[in-house]
Amino acid sequence: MMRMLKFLLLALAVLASPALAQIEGSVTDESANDLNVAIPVMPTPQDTPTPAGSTATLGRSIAEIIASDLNSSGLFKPVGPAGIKSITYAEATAPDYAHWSSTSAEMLIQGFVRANPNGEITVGCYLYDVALKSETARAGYVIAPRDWRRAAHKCADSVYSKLSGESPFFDSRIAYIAERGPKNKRVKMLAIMDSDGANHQVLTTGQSIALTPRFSPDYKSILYLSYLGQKPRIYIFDLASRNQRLVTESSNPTFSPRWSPDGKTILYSMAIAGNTDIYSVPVSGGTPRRLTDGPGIDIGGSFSPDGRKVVFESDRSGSQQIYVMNADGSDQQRISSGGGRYATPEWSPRGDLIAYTKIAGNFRIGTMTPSGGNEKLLTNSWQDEGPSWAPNGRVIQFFRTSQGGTGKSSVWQVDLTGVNERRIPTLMDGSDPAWGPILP
Amino acid sequence: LDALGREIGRQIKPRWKSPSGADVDQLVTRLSWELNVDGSLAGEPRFISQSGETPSNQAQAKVHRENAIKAVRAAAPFKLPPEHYALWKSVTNFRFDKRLSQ
Repeated sequence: MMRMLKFLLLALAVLASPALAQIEGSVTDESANDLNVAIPVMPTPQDTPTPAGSTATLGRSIAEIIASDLNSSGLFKPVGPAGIKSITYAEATAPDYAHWSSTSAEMLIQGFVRANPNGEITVGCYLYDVALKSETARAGYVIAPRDWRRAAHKCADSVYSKLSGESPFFDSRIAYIAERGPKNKRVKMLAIMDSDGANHQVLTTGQSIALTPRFSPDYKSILYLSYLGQKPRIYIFDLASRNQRLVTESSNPTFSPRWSPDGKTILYSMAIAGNTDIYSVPVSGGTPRRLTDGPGIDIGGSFSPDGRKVVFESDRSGSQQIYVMNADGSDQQRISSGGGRYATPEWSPRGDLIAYTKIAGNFRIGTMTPSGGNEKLLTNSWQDEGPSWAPNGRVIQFFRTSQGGTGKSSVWQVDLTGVNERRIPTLMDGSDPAWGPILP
Repeated sequence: LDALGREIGRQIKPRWKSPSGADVDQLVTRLSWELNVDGSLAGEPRFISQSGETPSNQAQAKVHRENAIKAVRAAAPFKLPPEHYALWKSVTNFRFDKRLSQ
């Protein structure tokens, strides 16, 4: 009776003031970042041999790479292709929602691999929302069978972009230094690999020591530092011809080379009589222009994505700190202000952040805004250094040197939350990773 | 009313997936929607406002909004006491956010 009365009173109150009958509330996502994504083997209408393996084999391998890519981004929890339902060719475009709804999958990636009469293959890639029972995105890639890994990366990129809102980054390559040998007699060679650590190639013999490689924006060449004898010099290595040339003729040591975003200008540092300054020179050759002229060491310039500013490291205040200047060298301003030293600043391709090595006890990777705000340290190991941005500016690779004097180093990756850290496999030890742009 | 708001939040929670990334915990999306007496949606959820956008989470802002709308659609029909329909018919300014779990 009382309850009835209460309800009537409440109903009366509601009728009397309709404004009251508006529910407010809130919901907070407290889950880990992982979205459950099921990825079954991609079926083929007819198993056909190709130079890269049969279409059925490729269908399994492509699904495995998509799962591995998505897992590495830290945003997804991929399930499959092993251990989940296999699908028919017809099912690729008509998912069995009744089945997937009964699993933990929130999203579903299906596709197919089909051999074409001209020797190419078609890889279909479909993204479905299991809860809403609807297609979210689709893409198809017609490629030579040898490029099957790229189709997998592109499918993973399209899913990542759709679900995260970010630009893609899996279909890209990394230049790095492959290392072996004892600490006092290290062999360091120029090397390249896919963004996931596949397709390694070592490009130089190791007779000279290679350091700090940077892919050109068009992937045709690599800028790097080579010690022939005791002198560091900057070379451009041409990937097609395997020839290299000196960037600038000088008897002074040159180092820390960087491309401008348009690939037309190179920044580097040169030491003359104990004073190191930053210079720029056109790729085609010409007269270098000095951008800094203070006493002390100015080094490691990195362009903003619009090419108008340069972030660099300088010890003019007495310790290594980060500065920003205009691309012509004017208006030099210090931006780092926390305790400790800061080295190797790199401007994000997205423009919003600058990554650096923070030296305060140990070496850590951090980010800050271009005005020096919002400083955030992403890693905490003994020696992490040399950050390089993924083409979408959301993931950073760096190298980690192990404690204990072995000199052993490895390539690692971390996202901007600092939570998702993982090692990238390299043939030998790896250092100085440099991420190239998204492949055309 | 608070209890009903919490109950609606509980029913949306398993469906609400904020995008991930830097600064996403600062984004707040607000939606309003109308419900039928059987708990189904009467029309589509309406986007009311968004706050907390920074240069680092700009790319996620749109996905944040889309996922909030998807969460409401996926959570419907809501199981709510029909005798109180007048109270929950109209859901206003419902807040969607994310807490980063470390």
